[in-house]
Amino acid sequence: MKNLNSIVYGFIIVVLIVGGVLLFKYQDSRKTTQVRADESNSPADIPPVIMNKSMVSPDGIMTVTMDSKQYEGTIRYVVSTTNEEGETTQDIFANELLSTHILSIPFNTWSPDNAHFFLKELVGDNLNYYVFNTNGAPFAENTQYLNIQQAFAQQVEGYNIIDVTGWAAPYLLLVNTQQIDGDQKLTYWFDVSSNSFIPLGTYFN
Amino acid sequence: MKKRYKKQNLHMRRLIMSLIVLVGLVSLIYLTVSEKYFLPCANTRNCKETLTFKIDNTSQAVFLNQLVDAPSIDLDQEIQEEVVLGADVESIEKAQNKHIYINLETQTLSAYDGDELFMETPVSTGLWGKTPTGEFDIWVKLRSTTMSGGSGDDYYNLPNVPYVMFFSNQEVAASRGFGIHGTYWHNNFGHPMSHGCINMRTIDVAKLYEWATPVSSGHTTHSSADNPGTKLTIHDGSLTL
Repeated sequence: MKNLNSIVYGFIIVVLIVGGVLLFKYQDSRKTTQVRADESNSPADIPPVIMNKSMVSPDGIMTVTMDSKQYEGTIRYVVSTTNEEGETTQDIFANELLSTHILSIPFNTWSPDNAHFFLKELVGDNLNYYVFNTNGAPFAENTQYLNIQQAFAQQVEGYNIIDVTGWAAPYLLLVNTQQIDGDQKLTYWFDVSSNSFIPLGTYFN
Repeated sequence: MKKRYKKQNLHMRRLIMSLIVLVGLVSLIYLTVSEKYFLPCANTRNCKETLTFKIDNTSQAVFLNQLVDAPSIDLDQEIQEEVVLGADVESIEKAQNKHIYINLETQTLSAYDGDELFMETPVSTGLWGKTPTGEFDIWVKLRSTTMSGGSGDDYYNLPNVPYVMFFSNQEVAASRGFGIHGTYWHNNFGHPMSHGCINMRTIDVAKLYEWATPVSSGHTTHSSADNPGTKLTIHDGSLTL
């Protein structure tokens, strides 16, 4: 009976020791995994390239600012607008894009009445242009921005956009285009209020 | 009788030919002279209304058949610089050192104080009217004026055009109304967009207006021997700075 008790006690002690070792090992391995997971997402591992660009409106009242953080393979953009005194900041746009998509603020970004601004996106050799409301309000159909390239492809045949140079009037962007099968150049107004294009007789070089 | 008739006919033909030649010559002379001296003014219908100071805080602007809100100007809130004693001598030296260059090809303006670059910025020059080239002097600075002209789709009426600096030389008379000025009706700088003037962003032209001579004294400042205007050169891109 005494021998049996010794065997049971000995078995229990062995089970406790083995259990303790296994638990320690499990926790240790779990802790290591967590650290690795944190490290792989940590900005400290590969510090992002932070850039800050802005453009003031022609009257000096409004400023659009674009902060960008470049990670490995992607760029996170945050676009906001502020008024002259810097009192009001309006968040407009935040998105993470592939690093092949380069967003920029054109010199003539602001509409003359400061109600809108547009951004330029370079994707390889292709250019896209997006119009935003300064107050962050959505456009019709609840869209955050107007995609000029997309609208042009849907509404106009036979021409490609060369460049969107600036604003002819508060609602009218100047869009320079060229014939796909020829050399003829044509300027359109892009009417922000109706999301439509109006061909012009004068080419705005 | 037949001979007399023939003679009269010949005289008549000569007279008609002479009249045609005379009319042709007069037309040619008129066109040549008017090209040089009677071209429409840059931004005005009668060549007078834009050359004086004017504030109009009630009218809307019209440009490219679009209505645009003109910015209000309140001179009471603006601190007017006074011409201090001794400024005459200073302004002469300043005016001689300062020079504004406008490159029509690149659509840029650069302003130098001696060798030092004060400002470089995109501008808009003549699209519907030609911007003259050559060397000019600023002959008057106006804090604000109204500019109008054109007809039909090209009609424009722009009250409160800010920070106007009219320039001229011996070939381009002051009355033609060519100037550098602020622009609130479009934002397409770096591309031709004017009727002959130099369009600038208001934030840029305000600095240039302050910097350029004649040294401002009130809302209207004419250049003079004691307070000469800054020189400017407008070129087609052939000038290397």
